[in-house]
Amino acid sequence: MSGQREFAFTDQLSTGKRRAADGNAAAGIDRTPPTWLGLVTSHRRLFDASQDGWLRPPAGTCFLLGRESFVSEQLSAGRNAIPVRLAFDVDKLPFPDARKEFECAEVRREKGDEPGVVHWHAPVPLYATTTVEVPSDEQKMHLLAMVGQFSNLSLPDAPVVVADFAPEPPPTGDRGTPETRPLELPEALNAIQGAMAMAVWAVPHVEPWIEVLRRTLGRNAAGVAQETARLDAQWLQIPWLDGDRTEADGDDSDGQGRLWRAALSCMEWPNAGEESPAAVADRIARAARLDDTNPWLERTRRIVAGNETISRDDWRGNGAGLAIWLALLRPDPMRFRSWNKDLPGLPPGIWWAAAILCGWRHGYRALDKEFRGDSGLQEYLATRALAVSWPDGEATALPASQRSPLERMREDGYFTLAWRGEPVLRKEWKARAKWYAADLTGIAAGNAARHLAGRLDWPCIERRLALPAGRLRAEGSGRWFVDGDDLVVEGEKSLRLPRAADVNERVDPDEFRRLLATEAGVVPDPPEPYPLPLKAVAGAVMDPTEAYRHPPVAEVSVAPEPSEDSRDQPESAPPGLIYRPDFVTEEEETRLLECIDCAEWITELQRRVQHYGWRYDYKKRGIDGSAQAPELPEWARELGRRLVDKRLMPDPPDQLIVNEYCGEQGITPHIDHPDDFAEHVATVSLLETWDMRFTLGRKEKPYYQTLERRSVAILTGDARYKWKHEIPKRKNEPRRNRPGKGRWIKRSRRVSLTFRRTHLNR
Amino acid sequence: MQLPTYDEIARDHKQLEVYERPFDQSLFVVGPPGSGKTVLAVHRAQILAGAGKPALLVTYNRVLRRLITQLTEGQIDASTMHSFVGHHYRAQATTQVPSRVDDEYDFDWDGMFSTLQKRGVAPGAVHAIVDEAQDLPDSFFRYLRDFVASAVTVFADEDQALRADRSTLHDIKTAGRFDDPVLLGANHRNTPEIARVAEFFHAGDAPVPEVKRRRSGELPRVQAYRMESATALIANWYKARGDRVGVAVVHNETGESLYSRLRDRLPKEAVRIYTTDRKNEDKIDLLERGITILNVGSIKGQEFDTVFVMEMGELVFHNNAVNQRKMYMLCARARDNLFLMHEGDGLPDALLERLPGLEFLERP
Repeated sequence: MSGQREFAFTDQLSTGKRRAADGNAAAGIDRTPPTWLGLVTSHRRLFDASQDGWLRPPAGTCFLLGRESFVSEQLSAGRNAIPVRLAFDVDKLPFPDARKEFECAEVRREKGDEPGVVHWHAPVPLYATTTVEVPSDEQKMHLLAMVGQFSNLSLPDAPVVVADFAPEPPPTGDRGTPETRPLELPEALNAIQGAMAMAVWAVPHVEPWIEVLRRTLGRNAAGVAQETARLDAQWLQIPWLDGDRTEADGDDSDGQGRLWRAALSCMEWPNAGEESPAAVADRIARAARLDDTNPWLERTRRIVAGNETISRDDWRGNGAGLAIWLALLRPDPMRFRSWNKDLPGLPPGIWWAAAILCGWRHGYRALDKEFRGDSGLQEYLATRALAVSWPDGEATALPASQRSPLERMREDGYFTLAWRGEPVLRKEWKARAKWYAADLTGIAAGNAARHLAGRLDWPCIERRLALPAGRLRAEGSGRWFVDGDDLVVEGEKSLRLPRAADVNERVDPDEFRRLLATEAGVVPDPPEPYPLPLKAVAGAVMDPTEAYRHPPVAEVSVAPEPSEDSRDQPESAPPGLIYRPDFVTEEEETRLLECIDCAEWITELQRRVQHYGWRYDYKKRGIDGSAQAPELPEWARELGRRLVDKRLMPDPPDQLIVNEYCGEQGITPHIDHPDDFAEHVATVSLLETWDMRFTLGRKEKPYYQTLERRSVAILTGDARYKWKHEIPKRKNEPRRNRPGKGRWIKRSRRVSLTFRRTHLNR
Repeated sequence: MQLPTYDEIARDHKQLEVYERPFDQSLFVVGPPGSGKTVLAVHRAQILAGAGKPALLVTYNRVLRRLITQLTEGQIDASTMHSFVGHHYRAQATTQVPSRVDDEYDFDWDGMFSTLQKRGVAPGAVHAIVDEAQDLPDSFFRYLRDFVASAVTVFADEDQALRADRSTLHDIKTAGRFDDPVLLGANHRNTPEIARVAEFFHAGDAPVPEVKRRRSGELPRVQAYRMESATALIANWYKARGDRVGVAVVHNETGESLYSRLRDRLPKEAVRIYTTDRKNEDKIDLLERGITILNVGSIKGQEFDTVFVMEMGELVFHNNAVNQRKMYMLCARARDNLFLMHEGDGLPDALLERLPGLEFLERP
């Protein structure tokens, strides 16, 4: 990043001022700055510029641009050259001081220059282009077809228009003297813009990294350092931000910061262009002062030779090391992209760092269009990269209008960053972002998060003991005392707990969120409905008004599924099927779901279940008398009593299975085991109204029983022993109670409570 | 086949000129492997299609036809020479294509010419584009010119011809009444390291193409193998590099054996095979990354990021002009990395003597 900071910009500036002063001496000159400048050039020049977005002046000279008119360049692009006429918006031109040159334009005319010619001593950014014109339809077609045959051409964001013009001989006259040597773009621009483009493309779709990205582009180095330290990525120095904080902080005990900085210095474009992965790794190791037997280096050698492969678990204590491997093995961004598929669930920060390193090495000029974003983002990144790499500071590089910061826009479901009021970056929330935004204080959400954290082995689960009022008896030789809100135990103590004492586990929401941004693992979407609106804290008494509110169901109009759902079904229900709507009230439903979602779900099946009383063995398809299951909770015993009171079951049930069906989930046709369970089987439906399908044989038409929300259905007799019943696996449920065909409602979540009585009681 | 960057093409003015040539004129282009002929052919066809002008693409083999269909996303009609001539002749002459008694693929061109002339068949307003022209009989170009197309663009590489009845550049030029060919001199495919090994097997009149790519720093490797170790190496390599990996086999059985081993080892990855027995080229995805196993005849005209040349010893030990040309062609398929794989427990000296030296070819 050094070596290019030797521009004599101030010299050029003073030349400009001097010329302006000369101009002032001439009388009666209109010095209104022009609003646009025009140039006729060739398709080859345009293509060359479309690679990195900068049209450079012809070698060693400056541009002669038409002052609100067009001036031709010397064209030397062969007999099949396509002339291209470009107009540039003066307000968008960089190097604000150089615009002072315009004021001299009229002066030059008096000195014998062509009228209306502006000398421009710097490259012109293509984002300033307002029109692109070619002389004929054939040439327009040919031009656009050629553009499509290259991977890295981004034409200016202006339609290509056919206009009647022909190139003219270029104007004669002063094309620059030694003291007006044109400005050159810094060499570091290519690496910086490549790294920035890849950083934007690869930014993890989860809150903290979006904010880190915004801060890096806003050059808020302290803000970035603070956040990356919190995200376990102290080592992650951003190549376009100054400062060497890891070394300064002395917080680099694992050497990852040193390794990362060595990689940045060894892999900056174009330094590592012609080296094998093994050679680059050796150089990085030397720069990081690793010895030849360093484990990272030895492993790297085996990996690049094809003798070993990497996995996403390689990141612990090796964040920088893994990120470097990712960039070393697949240096071309087009190929780098496929890590997403090959190593799913990489820690977000590692993926991001590796992408930045890949862009830093590859540069922007050769970068495929796929990674560049749309024209708004391209313009933003072009100005940012120039601002960062320009040695004399942003103010001399860009007009004020190009220096406004990136802002966050609030939009549910998307991360949106806007520049000058226009969105330039819009990233959809993926699973991690949805979890991050979810209100985890809710019971259902908290439970789901605990399951996820448990499955991925993320260290954010805390255990809590909730004690009821009263006296507890302690045993053991140790002693304890209370210090403020802390209970201090010395030695060993055991405590006899009353039945009402409740041990529960929950995730620490803040830590869970931090891990969403740092940990490895393939994260599925949080359960619907989402976002989870629950406000209550686990264990606290629920205020019914704050309770779980099922969101309004989305009404979708879809074609009926190709089943027998045209309601062409038997007139009468299977004998023995009893159905009662409104078996539980709305308030009870709310309370029941609270209790259910507080309890542990079993996740062995595709759908989640809870077993009470006796455990059901899905493989043996019967009761597992040896397996422990929690007793029926009080709410279940209460519902059991109600079933008996209402004469829906002869005896209170002693077994309960809670089933959660989400979306397409269902249960295949079956008959509940006759040997294990007594005749009456009762199913209470919560949350949504779904169909239960009954089938007798292949010839008989199936019967559909709509199980309304808060209803109960009891299977006895033939319905219990002869007909099979199922919950169809499908996406939508028909609206039975409304007129009009083809109206279906998207399924979200149904919870069913199946009460049975086992024969084990006999 | 990744699109090139503009800088890569602009470094080679000859190639850039082909891009810039007006599209309604006949054109004869000759270039070595990797000079971008197939991409240029597709490019020309796409421009014509975009302008609403009818174009047809003719290739030598079926895999290449499939590749072109994929590259043009089905916009361009590509066919092999045999199927094209068969259809066209039947439509124009309303009889079957006459062929020699002993070989149905060997057309009786002179008989066809006189029949079509008698019927007064004249070329239509279509632009025919032919790739790998050196593998087609020269009479085909006269056929195109006299009876099919108002303009013909031909891409040829004399050095790559595999068959005894191949056309020389002169034959093509005469039969198709072309101007002197545009000579593409540069190699845009191989790294210099790979090109040096390919050149070792180069024979013929055409000059060795100038390599335009930058050094990669990775030398091609020669390696002895048994099936198990070869499977592990190919699988590890693919997992680390995420390449488009091509595996060239001499014998179809070797391909089938490798195919089932790699499928076992990488059950979730794209492992594909094309053999002439299977005739399954329409199912192969040649543009997506993955491991593609092809025999020596089918790999022509393809390119892969990494190529493993299996059973290399057979081609090198039976040293004759055809095998040498095959080795050149095989090496030139590789963009970034090349492995010459010899079946056995070690590399015999007799083999190493016939291979490039240590400074060109890394040995384990």
